[in-house]
Amino acid sequence: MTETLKQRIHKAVINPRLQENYRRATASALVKNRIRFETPALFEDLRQQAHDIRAHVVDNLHEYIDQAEAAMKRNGMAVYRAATDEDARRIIHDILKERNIRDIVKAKSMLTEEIELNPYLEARDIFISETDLGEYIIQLAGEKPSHITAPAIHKSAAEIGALFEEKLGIPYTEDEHLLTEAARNTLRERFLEAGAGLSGGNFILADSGSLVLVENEGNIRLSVTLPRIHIAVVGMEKLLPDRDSLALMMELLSYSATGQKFPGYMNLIRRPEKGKEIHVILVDNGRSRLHEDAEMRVLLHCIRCGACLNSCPVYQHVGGHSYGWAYPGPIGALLTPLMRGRPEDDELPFMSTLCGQCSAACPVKIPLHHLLLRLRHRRKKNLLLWNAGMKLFKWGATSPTVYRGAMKIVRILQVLLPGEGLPLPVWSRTKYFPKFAKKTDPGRRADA
Amino acid sequence: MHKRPDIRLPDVEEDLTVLFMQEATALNAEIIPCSRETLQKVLNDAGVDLSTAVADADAAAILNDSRVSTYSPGLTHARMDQYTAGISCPDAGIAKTGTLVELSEQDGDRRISLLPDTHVAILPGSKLLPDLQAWLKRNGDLNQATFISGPSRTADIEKRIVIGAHGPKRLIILLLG
Repeated sequence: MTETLKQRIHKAVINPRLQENYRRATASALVKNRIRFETPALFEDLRQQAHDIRAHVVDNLHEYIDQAEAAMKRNGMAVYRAATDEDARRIIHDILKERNIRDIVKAKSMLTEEIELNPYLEARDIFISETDLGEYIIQLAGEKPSHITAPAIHKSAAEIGALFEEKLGIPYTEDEHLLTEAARNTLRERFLEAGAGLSGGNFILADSGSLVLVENEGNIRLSVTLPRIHIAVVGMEKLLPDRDSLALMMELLSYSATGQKFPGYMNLIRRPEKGKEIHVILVDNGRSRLHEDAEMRVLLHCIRCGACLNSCPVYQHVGGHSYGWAYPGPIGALLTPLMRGRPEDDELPFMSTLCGQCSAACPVKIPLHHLLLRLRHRRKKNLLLWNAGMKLFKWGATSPTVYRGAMKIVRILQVLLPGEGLPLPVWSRTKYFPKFAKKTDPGRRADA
Repeated sequence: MHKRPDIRLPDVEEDLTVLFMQEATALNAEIIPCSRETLQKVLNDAGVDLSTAVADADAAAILNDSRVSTYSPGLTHARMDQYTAGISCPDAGIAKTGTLVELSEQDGDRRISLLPDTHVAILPGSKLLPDLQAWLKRNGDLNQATFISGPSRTADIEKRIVIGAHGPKRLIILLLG
């Protein structure tokens, strides 16, 4: 039986080791991301341009998909469109089956998590090696990624050391260099022999039909260079008009993901080499529905950098697994209910303090916390009662007399109400009610 | 379809050589300014064993050393994996990010800068460009291009940086004056 959202969150916040792992990992990312703010005006200028480009692509999405598909076909790539996750899985399996390939190396791709590709292929006797170090670690552990760009962020070196000792037969170590070397040696053999390499895709340049893949480890280079077949699974919204747009996005992508100026490797792939095949699968799986939603369409601007995860105080505490799907953090709290839409996903937009750190970090200026609030509104079943409650609060919170009166009543009730275990007395004892200032200070207005 | 919005990227104002060296060094690449005459000595001092190295045709011609194997498309992946160093002549260097650009033809030569533990790039200073946009504007048609910034790396274990993940562990850039 799968755990509920509340059970997952509870498990994460009571686990001190997990809390320490997340704290360390997101703090490190935040420190690096501070580089951005050395030139805040430039960052603002670039992300406004990036927003405009992504908005332009999403507004003209179907034209750009047609253009990209035609260009990639001209370049000798095979292009497929998958309407659903099931279609995408079947297309990939068919490509492998027709060529009798049972052995693939796989680069990190959140989309393959979204379409739950690995269990599908494994059930059909395809042997998959995850090759990104983080993905490899969690594949060995039989777990799921907990972060978009750092999938094993939830595991400590000690846990990884014990895992490698058990699965790879190396002596126990917490030294990240020795652990990395062990993974490198094991996976190098797999790269040399694999029948196909499977990757995601960061961008497709629509005018020239070029596929762009960025990474640091070299596992994507190996996956797309050595095997004869390269299969790329790409969200249909991951398009850019042309090369200048790519130059712009590359000013922002690595900064936002890892605090780097540029990725260790960027692969720009336009034509397959002689005797080789490139298959590109453009996946819809709910994106068209999102595209028709005028208010939420802006979520298709996302370039999957993970900046909103690192900056989110809720993500830092509940961790990636709590969200229950491929995309955690603020972006996941929006995409999961809108794209997957199971009843239990309705709670996800409430996993936010609405502090706005996510929106401030987003390199394509998605107003994430505003959208979270909007989605809460949509999901509120009893809007009448909710609105009446908010009106009552507004009346009380904007009138010093009513506010002070209400606080007095609460203090009296606190004493009168019976003991431990009941929500209101416990809650109100730990809350601090701010006092009204004598005079409005114009410099401290919240909306200034 | 509407025209896409205009794009304005910041100009690179620094000296290209100084900037390239500074950025590539920050990425743990070893940059050695040298001349054609001193190439062998520099490689020797850097601990590169030319007798177990493979070079692309351009690099082999510049090195002109009988110990070095010249790349051929027929080399198997397993054979390529046994070389300790791959020597290439990149298409360009990008100063702003300390990046090398390797163009690929149709014969799997991307493996030279990928499979051996050490990648040596021979780059004349005249091949430096200010930024990615400048390179993309210049190179209209291509099959595949690889942009290389430093040796391979990972931070997947507790966010601690390890140099030498799946790709080369060392990147040596010989900057020809």
